Amino acid sequence: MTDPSRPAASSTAGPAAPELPDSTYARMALVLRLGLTIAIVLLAGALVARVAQSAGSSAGTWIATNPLVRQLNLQLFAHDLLSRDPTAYLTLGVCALIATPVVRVIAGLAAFAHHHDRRMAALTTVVLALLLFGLLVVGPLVR
Amino acid sequence: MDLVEFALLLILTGVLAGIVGSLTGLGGAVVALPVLVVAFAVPFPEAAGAGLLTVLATSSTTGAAYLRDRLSDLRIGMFLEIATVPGALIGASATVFLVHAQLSDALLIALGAVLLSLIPGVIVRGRNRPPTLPDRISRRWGLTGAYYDERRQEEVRYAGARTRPALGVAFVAGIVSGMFGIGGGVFKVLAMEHYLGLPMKVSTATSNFMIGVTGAAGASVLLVAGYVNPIIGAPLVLGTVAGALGGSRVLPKLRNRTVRWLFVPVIAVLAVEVILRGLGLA
Repeated sequence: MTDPSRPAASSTAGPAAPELPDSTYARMALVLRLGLTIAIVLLAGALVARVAQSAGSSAGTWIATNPLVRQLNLQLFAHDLLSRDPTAYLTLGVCALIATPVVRVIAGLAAFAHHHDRRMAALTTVVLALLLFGLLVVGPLVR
Repeated sequence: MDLVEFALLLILTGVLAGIVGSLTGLGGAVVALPVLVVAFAVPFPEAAGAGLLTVLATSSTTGAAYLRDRLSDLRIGMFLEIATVPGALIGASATVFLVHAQLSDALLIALGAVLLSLIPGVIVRGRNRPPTLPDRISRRWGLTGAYYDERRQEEVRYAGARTRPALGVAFVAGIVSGMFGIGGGVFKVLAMEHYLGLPMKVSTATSNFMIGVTGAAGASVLLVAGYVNPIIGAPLVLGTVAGALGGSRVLPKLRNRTVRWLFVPVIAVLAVEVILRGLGLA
C-alpha cells in the first residue's frame, strides 16, 4: 500500500496491478529475517567453536578439508550433530541459508493462494517443484 | 596463513562483497568469488559454492529490507523465477560435469569473461527510457506496480513490457548463476530494466530478492555434489550480511550513477586476475 500522505503519482507507465497488502510483504520479510537469523547464529557459533578447536592450524588445512563430503551421509551428519562437532553445525547453518529462499517461495505460494490469485499460485508451485527437483533429483544425479 | 587471520580476511571480503552486492543488485559473489580464487587459491567449484552462499546471504538480508520499503516486486520476481530456476539447475550441473572433466581452468577463463561482460551492462544502466506499455502477457499476469522514490519525492508507476525476451534473458541469468556461483543479477536487471522497462531501483531490489531463489537452486546442486565448503562459506557469509545490511540502508538515498561507478573498477581488476589465473599466468 502506498502512503496517502505522499505526493501523488507523477509518472509513467500504465495502470498499477492489484497490489498484495503490506502484511504479505511484512510476512515475506519476516521469513527472510528469521531464516537468516537462524543461519547466522549457527554459522557464527560454530565458526568460533571451530577456530577455538583448531587454533594453530593453517588456512590451507581449512581449504583442503571439506566436512560436507562426510556429512552428505545423513547418518554421519546426525552423529556429528549429536557429538557437537562444530563442522556439523556449520553445515546446518549452510542448509538453513539455502532453505530460507525456498521457505520464502512457500510463503509466496500461501499469499497468492490466500488472495485467490490462482495463476500466480500455480506459477509459484512450479517454481517450488523445480527447486525440490534440483535438490532431490538433479543434485544426486550429477554427483 | 594463520587460521584466525584467514577467517578475519574472509569476513572482510564478505563485508566488501555485501556492500557492492546490495548496492548494485548483483549479489556480492562478483567480488567474493574472484577474491577467493585469486587471493585464497580456493579451487573453482568450492569458490562457486561459497559464492552462491554470499548470494543467498545478500538476497535474504537486502530482500527483507527492500520488501519493507516495497521496492521489490513480488509478482514480477516470481514470474521471472520460472525461467531463472531451471537455468540455474542446468548451469550448476554443467559446472559439476566440467569439473569432473578436469576443465576448471576453462571455467575460470569463462568466469573472467562473464565478469567483464557485466561491465557494459552496468555502465549503460539507468539511461533515460520512455515509459513502457504493458504487453499482452504482462497484462494477463498483472506485471505492473508502483513505488515511492525518496530522492524524487514522488510515486513512480511501472508496467512490464516485452515479457518474452525478458524471460529469455532471465533463463540465461539462471545458467550464469548456477554455473559460476554468482547471482546473475546483471542479467536479471537487464531483463527487468531493458526489456520489461522497470525503474532501476525496482529492478535492483527485485533482482536482489530473486537471486536468493536462483542461488538456492544452484547451491542445492553444488551442495549435494559436495562443492559447498561450510568452513570457507561461514566467515564469508557473516561478513556479507554485515556489508549487505549497510548497503541496503543507503541505496534509497543514492543517485543511480553513484551506484554504477562504485562497482565497475573493482570487477574489472578482479576479472582480469581470474582470467590470468585460468591461463596459468598468475
